[in-house]
Amino acid sequence: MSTDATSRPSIAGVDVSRVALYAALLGMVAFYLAPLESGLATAFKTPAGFRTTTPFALPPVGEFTVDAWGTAFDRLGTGLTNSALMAVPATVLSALFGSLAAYGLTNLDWRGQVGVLMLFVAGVFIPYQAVLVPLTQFWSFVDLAGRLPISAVDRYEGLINLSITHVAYGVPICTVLFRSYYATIDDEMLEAARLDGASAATIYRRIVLPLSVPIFAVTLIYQFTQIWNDLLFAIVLVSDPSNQVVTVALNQLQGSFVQQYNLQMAGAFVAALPTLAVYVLFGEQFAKGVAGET
Amino acid sequence: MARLQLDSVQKRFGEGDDSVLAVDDLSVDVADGEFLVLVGPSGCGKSTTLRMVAGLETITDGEVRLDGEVMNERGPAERDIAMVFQSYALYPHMTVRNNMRFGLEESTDLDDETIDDRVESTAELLEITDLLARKPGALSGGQRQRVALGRAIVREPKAFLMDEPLSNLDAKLRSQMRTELQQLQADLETTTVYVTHDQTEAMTMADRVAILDGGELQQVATPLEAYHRPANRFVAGFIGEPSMNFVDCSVAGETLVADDFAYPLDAASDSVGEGVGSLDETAGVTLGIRPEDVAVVEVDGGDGDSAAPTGGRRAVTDDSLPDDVDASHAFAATVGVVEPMGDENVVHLALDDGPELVATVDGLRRVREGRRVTVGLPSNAIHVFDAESGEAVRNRSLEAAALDAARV
Repeated sequence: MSTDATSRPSIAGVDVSRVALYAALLGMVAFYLAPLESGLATAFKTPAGFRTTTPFALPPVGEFTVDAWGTAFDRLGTGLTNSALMAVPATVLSALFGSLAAYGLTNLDWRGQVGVLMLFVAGVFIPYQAVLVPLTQFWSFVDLAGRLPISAVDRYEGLINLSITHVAYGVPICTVLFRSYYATIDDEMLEAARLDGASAATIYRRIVLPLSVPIFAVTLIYQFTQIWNDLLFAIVLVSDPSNQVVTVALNQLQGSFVQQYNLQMAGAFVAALPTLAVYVLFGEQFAKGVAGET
Repeated sequence: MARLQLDSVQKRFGEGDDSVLAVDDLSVDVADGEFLVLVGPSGCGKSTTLRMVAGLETITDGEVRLDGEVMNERGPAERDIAMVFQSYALYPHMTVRNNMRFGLEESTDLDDETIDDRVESTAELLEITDLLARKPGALSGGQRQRVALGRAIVREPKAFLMDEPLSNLDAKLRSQMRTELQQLQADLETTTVYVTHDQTEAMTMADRVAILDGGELQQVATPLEAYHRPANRFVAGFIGEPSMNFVDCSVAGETLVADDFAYPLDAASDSVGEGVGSLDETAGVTLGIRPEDVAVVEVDGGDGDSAAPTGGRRAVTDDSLPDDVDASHAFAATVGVVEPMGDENVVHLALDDGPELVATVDGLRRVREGRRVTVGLPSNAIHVFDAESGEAVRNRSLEAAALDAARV
């Protein structure tokens, strides 16, 4: 401390600008974490506890309970399963299709590429509210369960519809994400592969795909969070209560007469757990992907 | 191993009015096992030509034939050609072994054992056996270069194409790899087309050089032929370091004149240079002479340790100049900047009559800035180019046998 304090303003050997920096950082941390802390604190309080204390105060002695978590897990259990059934395939497929489309639009050369790319870019900006009505009409016209008389399809029709919808609306943004990454791939390397005798498909499978791990992490995290957290499509497209996803179930934790804040907060954390888990799992690759490392 | 023919090959980028002609009517015949170097300044179309041979660019017009078969419509995979890229273009996620295996796996039906054998023996040849398990990221530039070569060699293709493969290496490693590559090509006897902008690489490595400028082929010749008998002014200026000296002149009878500077071509004592064409009085010409052919003699002596003969105190002398320099070809000059290279000194000279020349003299000779010197331009070493077309009208005289004997 004292060594580098010579050139900077210091009081009693403490670097003033450094103190200010840490103070500002701490302030920002507090600002961002306050809602989370309040939510966590509330989730561990009894109803009497959250009525008598301020939201961010820790549960007072005697008012601490984990009851809300138990109830939340019970009431969100089916929703969690349904969400996973819907979100995991939708995430993987939209990332895979986006990757394939980006490879075709970036590293291969064919006529009309620019026009197709424009469509993809336009697809990124589609407002979901604008397509709700045609989308519901589309799915009632398709009538998956009627056309595919398989029990699984019949049972999970809502989830399958929702999953496919998310794939379709996720592909444009995935394509754009992958495209910016694939544009950095060395063209000479792909040309070398062509001279080595590899076809376009082989080049994708053996060279481009293995090099895409970091951007896959980015896309998977992004898409998973988007799809998992979606409420709009889930409300509109899924009518069968047995196919209810977690966001809809979470919404229903809101009681009509009494607000059970502890239950709602615990539910919110339960519903958010999978997205947190995904960040932790892919965090390192995510950082690489965002930094654009190949 | 194959003969590679480029027959009136043309490449046009874009269509209509915006189109750019990158390569125009290029014809070169590369013999089986020959090492041809395509050389030229950047943007001359040399890389485009190579990419057309590889199949990475379409051919607008003309034909590329390998072993007599037309390649125009074949994809790069179907040409049996291997290419070494400037950026090495190694697959970063694969080990060196898999980098080398890749081409064999994709382009042949060889079984694993045979592929392994070929990779091993190629690795031995290039002395990269220790690196086989590593990934490209863990290799130095020189090692990557070797792996890139190995990846091409292991496929045993009909022809190698190399696109400035040494330009990312440091100078020392580059000259070492140059020799090695030359040796390797001689051993493998594989037809090779090598693209570079570096005339040193072209001169030292090539069996023949093809010099390109502005998409047009200027000359195809052995390095020495291109050096001593350049087809035109561009080749003369491009090949050779430092560059040939040029003086723009007009023709007055048998004398080349540029302001006060006059160079008679008909001096009786001169051995006359090889005439390619006759001089046209109306057209301007360019006089060219290589720096090493410019004789430099100290005038005012006094420089005791000068190894060169000094000519006393006379202003201009001819008896200290080499015998083959006529008195009319000696000029008074002042020494400008001197660049010592060790083995030679590059001397910038300002002739009293106007033109500025560069000469190279022995590295141990002391030539000081500001000295008065006599400059001899021997008539058997001069080149004359047509000012308009740049075509060589007269090249230096040289025993044809000497040129042939020097051919390797």
